[in-house]
Amino acid sequence: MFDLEKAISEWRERMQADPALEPGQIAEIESHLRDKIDDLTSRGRTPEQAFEEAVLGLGETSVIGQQFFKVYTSRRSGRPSWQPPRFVPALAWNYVRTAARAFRRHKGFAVLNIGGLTVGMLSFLLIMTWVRNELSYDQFHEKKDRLFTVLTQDQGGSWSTTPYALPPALKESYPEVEEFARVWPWHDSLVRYADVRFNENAITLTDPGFFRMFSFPFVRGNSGTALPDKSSLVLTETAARRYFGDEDPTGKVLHLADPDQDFTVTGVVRDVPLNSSLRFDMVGRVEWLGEDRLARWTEWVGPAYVQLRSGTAAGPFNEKIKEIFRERLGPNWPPSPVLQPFSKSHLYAEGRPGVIVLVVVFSAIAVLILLLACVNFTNLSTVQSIQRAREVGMRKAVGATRSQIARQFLGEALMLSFLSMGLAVLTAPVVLPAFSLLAGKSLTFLGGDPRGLIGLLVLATTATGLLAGSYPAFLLSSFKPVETLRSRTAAMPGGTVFRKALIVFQFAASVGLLVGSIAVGRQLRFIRTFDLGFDRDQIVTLENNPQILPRLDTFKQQLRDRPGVLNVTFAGQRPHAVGQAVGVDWDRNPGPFPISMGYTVVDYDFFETFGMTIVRGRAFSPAFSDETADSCIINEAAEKIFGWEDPIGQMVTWNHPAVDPSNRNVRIIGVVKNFFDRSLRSEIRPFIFRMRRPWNQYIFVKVDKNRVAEALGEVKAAFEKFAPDYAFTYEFLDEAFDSQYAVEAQTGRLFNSFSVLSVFIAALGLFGLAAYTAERRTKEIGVRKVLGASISGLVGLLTKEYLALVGAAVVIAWPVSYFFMSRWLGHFARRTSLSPLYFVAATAAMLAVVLAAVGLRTLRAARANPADSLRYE
Amino acid sequence: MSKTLAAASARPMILSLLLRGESYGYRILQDVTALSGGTIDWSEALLYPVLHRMEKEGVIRSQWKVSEEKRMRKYYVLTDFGRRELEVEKERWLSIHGAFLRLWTPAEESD
Repeated sequence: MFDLEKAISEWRERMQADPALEPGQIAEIESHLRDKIDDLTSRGRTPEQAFEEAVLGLGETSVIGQQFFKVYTSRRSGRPSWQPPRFVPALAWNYVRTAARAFRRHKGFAVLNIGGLTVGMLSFLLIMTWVRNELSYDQFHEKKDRLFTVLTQDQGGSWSTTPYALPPALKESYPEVEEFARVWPWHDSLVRYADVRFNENAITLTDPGFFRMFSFPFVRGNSGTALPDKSSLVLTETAARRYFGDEDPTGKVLHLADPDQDFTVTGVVRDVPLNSSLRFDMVGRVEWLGEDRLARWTEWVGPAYVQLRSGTAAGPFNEKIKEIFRERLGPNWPPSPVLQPFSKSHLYAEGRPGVIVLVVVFSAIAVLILLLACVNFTNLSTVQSIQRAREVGMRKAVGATRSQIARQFLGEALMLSFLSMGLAVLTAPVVLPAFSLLAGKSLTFLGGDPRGLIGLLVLATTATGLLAGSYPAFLLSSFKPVETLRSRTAAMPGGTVFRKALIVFQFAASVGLLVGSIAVGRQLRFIRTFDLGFDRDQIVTLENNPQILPRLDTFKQQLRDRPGVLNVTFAGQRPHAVGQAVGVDWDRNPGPFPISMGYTVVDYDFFETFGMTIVRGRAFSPAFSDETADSCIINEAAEKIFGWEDPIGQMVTWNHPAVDPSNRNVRIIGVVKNFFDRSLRSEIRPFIFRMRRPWNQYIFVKVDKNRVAEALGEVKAAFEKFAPDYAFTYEFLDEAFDSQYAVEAQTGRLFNSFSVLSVFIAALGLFGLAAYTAERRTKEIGVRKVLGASISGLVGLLTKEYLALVGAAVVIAWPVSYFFMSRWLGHFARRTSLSPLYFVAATAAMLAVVLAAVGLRTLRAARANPADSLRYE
Repeated sequence: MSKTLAAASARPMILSLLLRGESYGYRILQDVTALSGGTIDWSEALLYPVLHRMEKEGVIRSQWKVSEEKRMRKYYVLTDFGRRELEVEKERWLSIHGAFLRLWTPAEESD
């Protein structure tokens, strides 16, 4: 029998379950319900029918509650606080809450986890900032796709200088060439405006096409009117301010001591961006190099660039111009000009992979470090999963599917990953200055157009989250609810093969990076201490100038008697950085062409100052009438090529195009021991010295190492007396020598810091793992202790496992790092050997870190009182 | 009738009904159905949140009373503010009504 009052009270209870409905509201609706039931029964329905129809007519009760709530809440969304936000799937809120709870309860793990990930991401971020900076070089030119560097290539390789007759000839004969600019960036001169004088050493001499091709925006003047004639000059803003302050520089006249001429300022451009490989303070006309040098086909004067018409492909055009040197110079000239996209000139200097190698290597290291952080995260999350086993069990028991659980933990990993990236992004600006110093660059975080970088970061963060979270998600979702609810340890993942493999990978990467950084460091040391065949210590190097040049002997005499000064000499180049070559011929030359030999011009006392050994004959000496006329000195390599039993007194032809043919035949007066005239990346080559005083660009003063400061004062005094117009700047030769290896030194520094970082990340993870193992085996340790195990025995037991992993890592790391490091060392003609000691040292360092991280934590476990751990059994 | 139009017209409709004297939820619903010949059909339970909102606005006031059938019922009456609001509503609806009328009355005014 239907009881209306009972049905209504049941209905009321259902309504009361809705937290949004107040009792008064329910009462009002109930009165509505009763009115309708009365109405319906009066129209002939049975009470049961009437009740059902009336309840149905009310509609969905939860909607009523919501509407009432909206009336009284001040929240804009009108969402009651106990309901999940509309756009979040029902359980997600709960996921976030349980994750946050797990964090709070295990702060140590959370800190290790997020900390490791943040350090990894920070390294990634820093490296990518550096990579972005390297890739941004020369990309700001509007016509960059049509600009090309003219390289010269022969079977020996390629180089970036070209005869200055070539670019105009190209433009004349090939319609594809729209513009050309010969760019000679090495002019320096004392520059004067009224009383203001500066020694400018970044004056570029070029063609007027320069500013039409490259995008250096004009502040005054424009690219059409800049450099109209030989006496015009364009300045950068900074250079202009040096002379004119805030005045308008256009039309003002500057005096250049070299070539002793007045120049009119025809334009001012903005300062050259830091990421430009073309650098200058002033720009003048290339004609100052001399008409004959510009017209010559036989001298590779300097760099040159061309702009091709749009739509011209460089490949086929290179084929077209391949024979141009042979056409001009005869069939015996093997080199060909090759156009290389200008936008690549920073990464592929001289047409060879340079910076690009570093970009690739460091990008790889960035990804590697990120992977290491992922591994850490995976391992820590896996071992920590035990804390969440019950939660998983409960969720499954109330109906969660495996994929729901997996998604929950994957989502958690993603969340942490983005959290870490957030932290890394916040820390990056703080550590960037230190990193810039390390990298020897001024780097800006997110500078320029950051969209690419942001996209990359989001991608990397997502990938990290998915990669790091996938295994824990897979593992956790596989837990069997019954087991997790029955006992705490049953579901504990043991030392699975997978986790061990991850640790081995981590160790291997760390050991590999350590080997790399040791090898780079040793090679740098090797270079610095290498016997080049000349002495580079305590030699002060000055640049020569037109005020000293005509008075070399008096300058030398004055300086030589001063306290602390041991010797003085002059030369055309610094002996470690000669680079240039000249064709040399002799009557017994077996081939049809002159042989290319390194050369420079030197002065009296050169070999004495540099401690170079004369093995035959003699050095240049003022005791002989005129050494500049026809004397030369060769090295042992050249002696071997010439092939005379006794070369002293033999005649050879020194085919320098800038020297009068009557002055080209020279007599060998001495043989000097072999030495390195270029960086150690190159081999020793045949070499020939002459004396030719106008070409002496450098002054070298050998000083007493105990009286350096005193001697420097003397050098300064003499310099200022002889060359009052020039600023006194000097350099120690060994420092100049070291700066040749700046890229290697930078590589070394970056390598060091990132290998330390990777070891640090590994140590973080290890520490967490060790803590876990110790906890998991607390009871075992207690039992063993009760049975009489010693502390050292216990620590050994717990650490042994990790030592085995280090062993496995070594098997991988040694051959891989050997392969890469021997390739890197292969770039050097003289190199340190890859000593097994490096590998042992790297492994020992890794072992020390493992022992410290694992040992400390296990020691604590081993020293604990067994009574505590066994009490609850 | 569309939901939005029903919702928009609910307020002036309730105000107008209460102008005739106090009333309660179920009767308001019946009156509306009767007045419109069944074309206006409000979702029953959602009337109450609307009434509560209007009370919060201050255009109506409510009071629990014992009805003739000896049951507790919540009665609603118009406030003075409600009367003034109704005048405003009336003007609005009449101007819309007038506009439609002019639109739908054929010819005459075209020249």
